[in-house]
Amino acid sequence: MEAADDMKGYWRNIRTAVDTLKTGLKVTAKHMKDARTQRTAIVPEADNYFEKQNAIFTVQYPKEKLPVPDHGRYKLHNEIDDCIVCDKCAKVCPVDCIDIIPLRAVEEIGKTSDGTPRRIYAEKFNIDMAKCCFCGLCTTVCPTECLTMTDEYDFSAYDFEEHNVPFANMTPLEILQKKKELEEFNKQKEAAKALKREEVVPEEKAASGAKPKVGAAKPAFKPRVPGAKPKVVGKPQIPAKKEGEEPSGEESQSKPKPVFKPRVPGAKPKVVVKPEMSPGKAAEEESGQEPKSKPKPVVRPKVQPKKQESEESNETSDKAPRPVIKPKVPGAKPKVVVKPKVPTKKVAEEPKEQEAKSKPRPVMKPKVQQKKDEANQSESKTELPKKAARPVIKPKIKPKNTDSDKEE
Amino acid sequence: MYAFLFFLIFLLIYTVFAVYAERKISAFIQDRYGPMETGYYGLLQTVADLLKLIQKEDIVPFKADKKLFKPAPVIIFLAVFAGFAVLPLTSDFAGSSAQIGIFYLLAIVSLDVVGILMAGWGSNSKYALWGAMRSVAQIISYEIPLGLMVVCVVMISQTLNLQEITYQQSIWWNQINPEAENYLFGIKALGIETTNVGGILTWNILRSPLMLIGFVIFFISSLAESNRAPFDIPEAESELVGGFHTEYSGFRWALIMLSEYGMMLLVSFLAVILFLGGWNSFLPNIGSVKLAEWTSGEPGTLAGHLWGAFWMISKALFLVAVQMWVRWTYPRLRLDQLMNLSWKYLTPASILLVLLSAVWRLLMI
Ligand code: SF4
Ligand code: SF4
Repeated sequence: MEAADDMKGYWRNIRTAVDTLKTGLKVTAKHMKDARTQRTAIVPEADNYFEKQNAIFTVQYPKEKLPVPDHGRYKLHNEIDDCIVCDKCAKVCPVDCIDIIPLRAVEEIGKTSDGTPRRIYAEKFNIDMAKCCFCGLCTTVCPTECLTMTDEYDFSAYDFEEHNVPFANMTPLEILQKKKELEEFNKQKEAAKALKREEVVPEEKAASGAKPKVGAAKPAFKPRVPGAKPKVVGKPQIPAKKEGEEPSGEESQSKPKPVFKPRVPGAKPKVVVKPEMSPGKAAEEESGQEPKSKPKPVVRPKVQPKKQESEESNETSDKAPRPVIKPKVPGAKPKVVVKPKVPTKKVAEEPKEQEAKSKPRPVMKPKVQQKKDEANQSESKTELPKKAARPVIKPKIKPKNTDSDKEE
Repeated sequence: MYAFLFFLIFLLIYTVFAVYAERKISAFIQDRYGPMETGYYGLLQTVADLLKLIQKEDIVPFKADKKLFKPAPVIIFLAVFAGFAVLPLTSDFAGSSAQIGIFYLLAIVSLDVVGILMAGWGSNSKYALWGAMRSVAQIISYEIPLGLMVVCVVMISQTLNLQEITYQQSIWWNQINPEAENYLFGIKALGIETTNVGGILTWNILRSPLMLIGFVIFFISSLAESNRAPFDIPEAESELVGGFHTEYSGFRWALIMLSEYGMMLLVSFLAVILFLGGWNSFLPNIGSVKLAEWTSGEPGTLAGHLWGAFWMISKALFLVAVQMWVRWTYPRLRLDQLMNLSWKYLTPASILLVLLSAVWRLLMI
């Protein structure tokens, strides 16, 4: 009986073997037959996407390419003529691979293709594709949509350096020229301011009086936005003074706000101190001081200073610096608005988006905070709560600016 | 002498393009292109590979037994190449028309094992040694069904001379033996004489339909003989790196590859001669439509040579292609499955076939 079963198994094995061998040969023969054609590229949306296709799958890459979307997640391209050098992309970039050095122009240098006025040259606009993670965030934030992802994905290079793609198209000579122009312009502006300041001083006092009313938080800023223009006026003047007093660095000026506050109270000496500290930007203090980060507002001032100066200089001539600020403020973000205007180009728009990033830069803030704190305290302790809200935005701004400032 | 030169050159050229064909067939089976860059459609890829191989350093492992290691590839190649000596390429062209041709062939091909064992042992590498041991076990096992199938054919043909075996499957048999007669399926009682019909009807697979099964067994065994998948456990890249030739490089490695492809060709030639009519056309004469005569020349004439070589080589290459097709279809057998197949299935079937062939031979006379 057993033997009979064994024999059955034996014959069954043979039958199975023959059947399966035949099936196997048929399968491979079919593939060989189908190898005369090549699989067609179909998009995932196609109805037959999951259907088995037996033709050759190979794409002979450099000769043949599968179609990719025009704006996929591939190499970045910046249409530099449309770039307003707002720095948003650099700030949003999670890996910090966009390196921008802005160079302020003394006047509007044209319009982008969507009509946005351009006021800043890009002295340097490098995107390091070797670091880029192709997240596409920068293309999303770009206000003029000049930064896009192309369909180019094959850009390997023998040297990392080659992946650092420069988009700026200014020659060194041009840069030098523009810098000189700006310097002269600033000088003129300062001179103008110095003149103004003498006239304005009386007004300033009045403004200081108004500030306390506004309320504690960042009083200086808010008040301005809501309508307390008088305060604003005072600020411009103050920066001018500082600059004059603290020729050492523009950065120090950048933190004009702190300066303002102290000044308002009347203790100008404090102001002087702050600027000095800000330039130093002691990184060490940051960790502990992060909670205070809100003071960052101070930072903004730094950034803004340069811009403000330029704007202010313009404004000074007009003597209507405040108006500028207000228009920007839609209403809800009044505080924020103010800042944007000052930075005009870079800072103004970035604050919201950059909040996330802002935290990393704490280092700068601490310094600022201390200064601010002092200033605030002198003015009114109630201000702290308000500051807290803003802090996020401000910190962000500072880092970039400081860097760029230093380089300049 | 001519046969020697012809086969040597033919073997070299054939190997180059067989490697190419193998890569293409495997690629097509796997929905790929295979080599495409060198030459039109990648045709010169193997030539380029060969040039590279020849330039490579000949590395002899420090601990290898150099006396065994160095000559091993040569011995393997010689064993395979010597086999070509007795193949009748056409009706009048063969290295040697030895009367014991097929006996010699089986003997000399067995030397192959010696070379493989030398290579594996001399390499002083565990992979090479394992590969060599498996190879020997496998080849010895499969030589039995292979040999028994040859015996079947010899019983049907009553000769060991390969040329004569081929003549028997041809329409020209009467030229060397005026009294010879072929009958349909070899059964004289049917009374249908096919001696002058020729074509596929007089091939050994139809002279004795038992040989159809015999051919399958022979083909399977010959795959094992030439260490081809699914019987490639001696090389088993996924387990043994490269098997018995793991330690070889450069020209010696090329020789081993040459032998492997030579072996494929040799067993295919043998299968063609024994079962598929050798240098004979597969088209039969049908009445006055002398297809067989039109597609083969009189023995000894130029047409006879050309037609003969054409049929012989194309049939052999077809079998080589089938070997490749099989290789890229089936997975490798495990060692125990391999032995199972040989000893439990092929060998008993072969013995049975030998018995039946003897009976069949009685029907043929
Ligand atoms: S794609 Fe992402 S990582 Fe690359 S530059 Fe833009 S923001 Fe940075
Ligand atoms: S985000 Fe701003 S700086 Fe960046 S590319 Fe766009 S416009 Fe230029």
